[in-house]
Amino acid sequence: MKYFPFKSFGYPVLAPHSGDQDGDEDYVGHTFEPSFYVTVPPDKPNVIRIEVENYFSVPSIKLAVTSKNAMLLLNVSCRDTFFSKCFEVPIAGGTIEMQGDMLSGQVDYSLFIRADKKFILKSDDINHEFGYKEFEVSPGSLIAQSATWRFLVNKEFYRNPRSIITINVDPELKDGEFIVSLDNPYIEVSTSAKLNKQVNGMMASEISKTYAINALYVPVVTHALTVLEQREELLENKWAQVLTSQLATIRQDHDVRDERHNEAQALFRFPLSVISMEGS
Amino acid sequence: MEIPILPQNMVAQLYKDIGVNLENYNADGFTKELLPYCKSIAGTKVPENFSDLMCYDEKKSAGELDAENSLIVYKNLQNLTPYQARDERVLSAISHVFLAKFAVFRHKIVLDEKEKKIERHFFARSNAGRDIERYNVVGRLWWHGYFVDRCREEHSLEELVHVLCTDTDFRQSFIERPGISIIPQVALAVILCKRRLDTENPDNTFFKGRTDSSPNRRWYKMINLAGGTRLYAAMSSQELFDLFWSYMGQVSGE
Repeated sequence: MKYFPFKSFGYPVLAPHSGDQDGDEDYVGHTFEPSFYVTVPPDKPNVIRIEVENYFSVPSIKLAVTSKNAMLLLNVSCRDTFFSKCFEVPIAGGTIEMQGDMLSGQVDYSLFIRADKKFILKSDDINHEFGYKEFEVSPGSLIAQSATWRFLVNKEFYRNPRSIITINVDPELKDGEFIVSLDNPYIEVSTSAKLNKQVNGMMASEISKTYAINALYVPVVTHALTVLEQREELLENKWAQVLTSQLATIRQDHDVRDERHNEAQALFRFPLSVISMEGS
Repeated sequence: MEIPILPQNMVAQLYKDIGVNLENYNADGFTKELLPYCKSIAGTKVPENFSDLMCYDEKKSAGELDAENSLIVYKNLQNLTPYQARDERVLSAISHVFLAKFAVFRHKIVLDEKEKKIERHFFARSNAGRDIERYNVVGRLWWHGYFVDRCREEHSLEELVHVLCTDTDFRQSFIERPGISIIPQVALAVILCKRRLDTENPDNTFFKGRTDSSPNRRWYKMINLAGGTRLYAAMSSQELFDLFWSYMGQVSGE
């Protein structure tokens, strides 16, 4: 068992599987790995719902919760909106809901078990390196913590990928020239005045829209996905979050080849707005 | 009127054209020209004379001005949600249409580094959007108000916004520590510790300095370390205040 002075609680805490050698756990052979399912209910488009399913393999910890010596708390936090809240979760699992407009960008969540009263926690599976098989738990201390999971809140996630691409005119560019900037929340494409006019004209007609998408938007997204692969830090930007989330969702129901240009085509062929319409 | 929102293409074009439009970034601003391009956010409200409501008192310190104006901005942008307040299209629209005069005054947007200051204070795009609460003329003020309002419990919004904003060293050191500042109870406890410290020792320099040996750095470190083994988000602000105040005593006594 490894000891991290700045991370260790100084007593056994049920935690997720660390990937280290078996036997490293505070409770040998046991991990805390609840399941989460994050959705936006179709009838409440401004609500974000997290469903939690619990599984306890350490009987004494389960008993601590059922006997109300401890409680399950889902902690949800969002850096961008200074949101942080703990929700009590029933032992069998449950559902919590939050208003979507309180959140933006990356949202982190994890499940904890926190002691509410003083009690003795016994388990034969407590790692022998602690030197005891029971210990006194004080109120407020944590006895289990899950891994931290995340989801992203961007309304653009539900829109056509074009919604995260902005187009402006650069008078220094000529004819079909365009340049792409990826260092901002939106993908910014600067075009010549001529190209801008042509693209706008083509986008106005359903018939020619496909040409505009294939001539400009698909190459831009292909480039963005290629650069994203090399520069992971760009994931902080909204466009990267939207594209990767949309691709992951599309891949659940459709085969998409791994090449970036195929991914870009898939994003425009199956935007989530279309998928939502197909499903309804 | 409802709060305006610029199309993202227009924001990108404005940003690109800062150099071309340099003369328009003055006290009279873009007020009328941009409104026809804007849509508006249903259910929100902004006073048409928003710019006139701002405080321009040159006798006040930067921190005092920010406190006064945070309250004005937060109270007058009615029904703006946190999600919307992270949106550059909204912040740029308000900055350009309503607050050009104030931005020029507060951020001294004259000839020196004018383009750089316009990029910072009229837009909200660099640093993955985190400059929203640091630099954008409206974003920073709104977020200071919201930051306090979401955590203040029974305390006065006005008083705590002044505690947060007036000492700019404190504000900067605090808001830039998201691990501490995003949990409402923790944020309130920290602000209340600052208030008590200033009451008991008005001439303190606790939040001056950013070296490892600075008292505030050591204090935040203690708070962070303790937070590694407790769930601060599930503790009350009173419990946290007691804990942090004891840490402050330890640091001050060292």
